[in-house]
Amino acid sequence: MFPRLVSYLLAVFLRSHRYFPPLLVFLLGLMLLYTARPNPVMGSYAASSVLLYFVSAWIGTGFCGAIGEAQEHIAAVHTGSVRKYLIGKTMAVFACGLLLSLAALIYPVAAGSFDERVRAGEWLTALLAHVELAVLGGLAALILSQPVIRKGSLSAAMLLLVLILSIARDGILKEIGGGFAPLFIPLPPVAPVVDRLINPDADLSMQNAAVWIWPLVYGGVLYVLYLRLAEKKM
Amino acid sequence: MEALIELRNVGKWYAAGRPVVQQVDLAVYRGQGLAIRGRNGSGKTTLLKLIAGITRPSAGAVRRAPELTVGYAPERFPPVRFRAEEYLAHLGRIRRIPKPELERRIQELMDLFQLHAAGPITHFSKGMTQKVNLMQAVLARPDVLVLDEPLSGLDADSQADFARLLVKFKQEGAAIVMTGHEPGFENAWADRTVVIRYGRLEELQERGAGAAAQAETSDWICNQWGVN
Repeated sequence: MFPRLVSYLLAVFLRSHRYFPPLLVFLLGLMLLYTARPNPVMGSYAASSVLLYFVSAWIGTGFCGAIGEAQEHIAAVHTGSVRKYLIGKTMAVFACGLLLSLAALIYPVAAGSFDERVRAGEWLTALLAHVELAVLGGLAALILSQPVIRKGSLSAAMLLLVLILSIARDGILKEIGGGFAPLFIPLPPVAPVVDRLINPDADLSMQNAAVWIWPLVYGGVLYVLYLRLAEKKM
Repeated sequence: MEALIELRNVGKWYAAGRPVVQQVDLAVYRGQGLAIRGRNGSGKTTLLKLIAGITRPSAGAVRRAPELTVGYAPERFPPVRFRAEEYLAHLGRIRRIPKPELERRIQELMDLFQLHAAGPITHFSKGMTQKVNLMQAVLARPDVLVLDEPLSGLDADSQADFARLLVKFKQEGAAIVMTGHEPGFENAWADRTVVIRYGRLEELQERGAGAAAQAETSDWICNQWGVN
């Protein structure tokens, strides 16, 4: 059932043409990023993962707008339960994120844009970072869109704020002081992942592992929260 | 009579607003037509969503028969950029209807509703869009058919065809729950009528067997609308 539901939702999204603006920005962003050659591998992947974070959130918002409330109700009834429908919708958003993650990783290699050969370890690290950021961006968009938040302007403003604050966390903390760090805990843990891509040799201890595991745990918690809130608000 | 869906002391409210539906006790029985009447904003649509399983109650409980299938047609059907057959095929595949059966069923519905337009649903008139809405609801021959003001935009012939379809559904053992503002149409298929006012069910009208039996005669339905 899930493959059929995901295929239907992707078809709705593609037919709505809402995929076009985020896809265009993503492709133009990638091309712009790799215009000058050669480029450092991990630094470039850090930039493309940030781009993907924003684009995935845009796609998540686009999905909610493309299908609309009444068609969501119809699809949920045909699926047999609201929860199954919401899981299918999340899978469709993740599928787009995964596809774009692969594009972001393959494009510079295929175009010969790097200053050195990409090692397997670097590629896997970059893949993990892209997938994690795509998932976090998509989930942030889903939890801040209808049915959880119905007012479009409020939803867009909150999403933009969350995206910007989560990326600029370290810079803001430098300005206002590290004591405010707990305020940023509810935000997606994006900045540490990007920081680790830019400084891959900084730390190889347990803290390093936590940088990669925490987004997965955070994503899992956000996912459960999304399902509960969306089910309640439908 | 077998209860397919039971609402026990059900309430529903959004955020901090007043309850949209409150203290509702209602059962939907197999083979029975249940009409829900009420003024605009009285809570009809929310009650239908509770019955269809789209929305969860804020209070009380909704019990469903195991393996129950539901068909639902919302009041407003936003057009999608699919051809009608494509759209129905997608939903049928989600329902896991085998391909040959799905193709046959879609053709049957296209003929019944006389919908043979080639373009996407976004190019359809209001009436044609509403036909697609009703077709998707009955596509899988559900046990319970939940319809929110389904006659909106339908011409007289299509209304009569649809009334015949509803009667056939009931004869096959399905339950029908519907809101609407057409007492004539309601007489054709409803066995019970409840009235909702400010979210509460206030009146319950049980029709005699005569009305339901009358409704089973397609001639009666044709006469009701003056169509052949």
